[in-house]
Amino acid sequence: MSQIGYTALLLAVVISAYGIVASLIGARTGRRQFVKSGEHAAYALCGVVALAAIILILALLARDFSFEYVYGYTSRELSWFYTISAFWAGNAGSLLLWLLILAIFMAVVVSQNRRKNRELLPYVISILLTVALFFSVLMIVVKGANPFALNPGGVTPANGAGLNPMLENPGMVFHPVTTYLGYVGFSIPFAFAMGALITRRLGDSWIRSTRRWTLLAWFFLFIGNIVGAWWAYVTLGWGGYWAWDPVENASFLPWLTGTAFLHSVMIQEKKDMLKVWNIVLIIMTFVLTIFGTFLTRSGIISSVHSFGQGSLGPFFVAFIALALALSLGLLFSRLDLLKSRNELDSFVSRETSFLLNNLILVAMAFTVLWGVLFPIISEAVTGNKITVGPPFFNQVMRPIGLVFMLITGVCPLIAWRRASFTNTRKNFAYPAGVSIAVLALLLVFGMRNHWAIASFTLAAFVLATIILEFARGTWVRRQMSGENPAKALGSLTWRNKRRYGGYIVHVGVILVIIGITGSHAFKQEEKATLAKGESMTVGKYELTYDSFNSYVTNEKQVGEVTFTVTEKGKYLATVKPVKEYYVNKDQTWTRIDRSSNLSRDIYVSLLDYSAATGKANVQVDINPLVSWLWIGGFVMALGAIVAIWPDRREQRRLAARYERQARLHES
Amino acid sequence: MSGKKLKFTIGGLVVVLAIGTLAYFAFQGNMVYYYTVQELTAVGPSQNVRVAGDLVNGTLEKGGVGEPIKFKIYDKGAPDRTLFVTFAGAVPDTFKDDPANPVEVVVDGDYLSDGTFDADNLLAKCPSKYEKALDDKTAQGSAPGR
Repeated sequence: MSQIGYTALLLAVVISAYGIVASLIGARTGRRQFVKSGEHAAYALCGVVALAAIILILALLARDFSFEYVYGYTSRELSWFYTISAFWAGNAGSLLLWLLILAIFMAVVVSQNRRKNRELLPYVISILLTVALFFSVLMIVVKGANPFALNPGGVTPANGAGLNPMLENPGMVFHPVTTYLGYVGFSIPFAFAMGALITRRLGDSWIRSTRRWTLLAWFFLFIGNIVGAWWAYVTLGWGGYWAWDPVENASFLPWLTGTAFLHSVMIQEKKDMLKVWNIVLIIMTFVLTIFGTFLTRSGIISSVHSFGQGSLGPFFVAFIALALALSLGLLFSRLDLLKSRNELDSFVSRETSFLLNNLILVAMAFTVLWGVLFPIISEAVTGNKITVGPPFFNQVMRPIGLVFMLITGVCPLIAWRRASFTNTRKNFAYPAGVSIAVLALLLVFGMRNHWAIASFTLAAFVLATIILEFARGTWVRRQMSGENPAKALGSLTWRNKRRYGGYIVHVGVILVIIGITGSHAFKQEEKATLAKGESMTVGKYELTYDSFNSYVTNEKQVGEVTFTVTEKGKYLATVKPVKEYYVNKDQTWTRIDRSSNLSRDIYVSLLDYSAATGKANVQVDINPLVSWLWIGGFVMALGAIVAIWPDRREQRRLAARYERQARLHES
Repeated sequence: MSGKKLKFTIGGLVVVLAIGTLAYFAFQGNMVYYYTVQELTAVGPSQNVRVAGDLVNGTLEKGGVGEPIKFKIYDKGAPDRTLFVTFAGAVPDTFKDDPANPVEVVVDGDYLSDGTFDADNLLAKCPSKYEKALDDKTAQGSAPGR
């Protein structure tokens, strides 16, 4: 069976190489059979990779421990759900997952473009097939990257090594898949951008054809990031959700530039500007997705994730260098064709605020990238390895984030092209008033943390702006249709999914920022060693060690401590943190417990205990407002779904509008 | 370049420069030297540094509940030079003494003049398996860097 899988990978290499050549010949000579053959290669690749994936799944389900990979990540005791998800638990399988998603997306793209983008498509296919070729070659050539490798010596152990209990969490099942859906999704607009450059078809069609792909990629990458943070929070047990770990950053970077890209293509569609900037952004985003994939498995930066040392590094570096050199070179050679029809008119205009926030997003990305790469750079240049941790990232991101929020709030209030003082003043009045009121309230209630005050005030400002947009739109709609307010709001949103879906996402972002601000600025943490009956105070809460329970099963030893949480004597909650020790695997697993509501999480971790004495060492974190982070994430996802939801009427309306504008510009 | 384009290019540069300056100062203030065991012992007592090494088998001593743990680390390939570490925070679930699976350790803290390392942060990673590598952030004493 492993032979079939490996052969499928070999076929993938051959088919990809063939498809690249056929598509390119077809594109250059105009001979349709070659183009068609290239398209067939894309479909064939999908079939072959699907076959490989099925073989791996079958091996996992059959618990075929002769496969090194199956042995390494599953065991007979593992449930079916986690046995299947072990597919992407390790390096080799996750490479196959990447390739599978790419192959499927490619097949969809080819099918979507049966009757359009005919000049672009052969180039799109050849670029995507090049990426596929890269991943297939990796799996065949690099030691440790082959999912179908058999155990050395050909042994078939009776049982597998098993999946680490930490990964037996639904979040950890979805996180890699959604992150990869995001990564791979961005290669589609990249391929189209390159195709547009090559064919010199630099109008908007490449953007419009890939708009939904961009949104989907952004959506999935976002989900991947936030599920990762959620998992870190509830499973890893250190009391936080984001540590600016290199691999967390790796999937955050393309999301930042992807967000910038998402917004700036709107400007190109509306105002026919920023053409070069858009291509630069998608190149950056694509390269960062490959870089992110590389970081998780290179071992070059010590981090939570690293799959470990391997010889994959040089391959990835070479691929990234090549991709950058070729795409930037191509861009440079077509600069003359990318002149915009319009220019920025004024510093105070909606275009400028869009661009400013875009610039800020990219600057954020580069700063984070700098922090990630510096240890390698400093070691190469000076021989000393220098790292920076969360203090650096937080110190930089805080002020930038505040400016970012301000501009996000201001943007819808300023007119296009050139804002006049009088109408800007009118637009600002209500949101400014609301935020000043919030500021006053915060000060009156005794808040003194400057960052938090600024953050909450700006959050109020942005929320007020968005509510104003919805309110105005609803009012106008009611004038036209006479619907009641709720119905008007609903139909307003549903008829303008792009715009109002986007506003919903912004609301979600603000909620996330509120959650981050609360849980950082006002976090409290205490550690204590307690005997039964003793109490500890954390902030305004008191935790009393109520009872202790320890028991042994045939696979683990368990210690549970029950705490009662009170505030000024009033009972609030019971929390029961647990520590498990899996005897056969010699593996400890700390399971935190928390009491969660909208205003705070009380998060308790059992660090150590003694069954004999009943003493327990615990860490308690009070994380104010952290629930808003998860709620905000949910709202962002919801808004994205609204924005992505297909709507032919809206599409036609917008296309007609842009066409009218284009004709106006020409005249 | 037209006057308008110049205006915007300068504006853009100002923004980039502002962020760059912010990043520069944040960087300078938060740099942490990352040493191997040999490098650290050569450098001498230092504050707020990071050291990586492998756990020396048999040296892990757990105190009572709530007491610091003690262990030694060394650079792979240079077993004669070891560093004695004490750590009072939460021990990650991956951190265990298993001769069959050497544990890679990264500690942040101060290298004291008595030759011991007082760690305030401990990351443990097993290089051979992806899923074990995920664990090194579990149940740490304080959020990294605080």
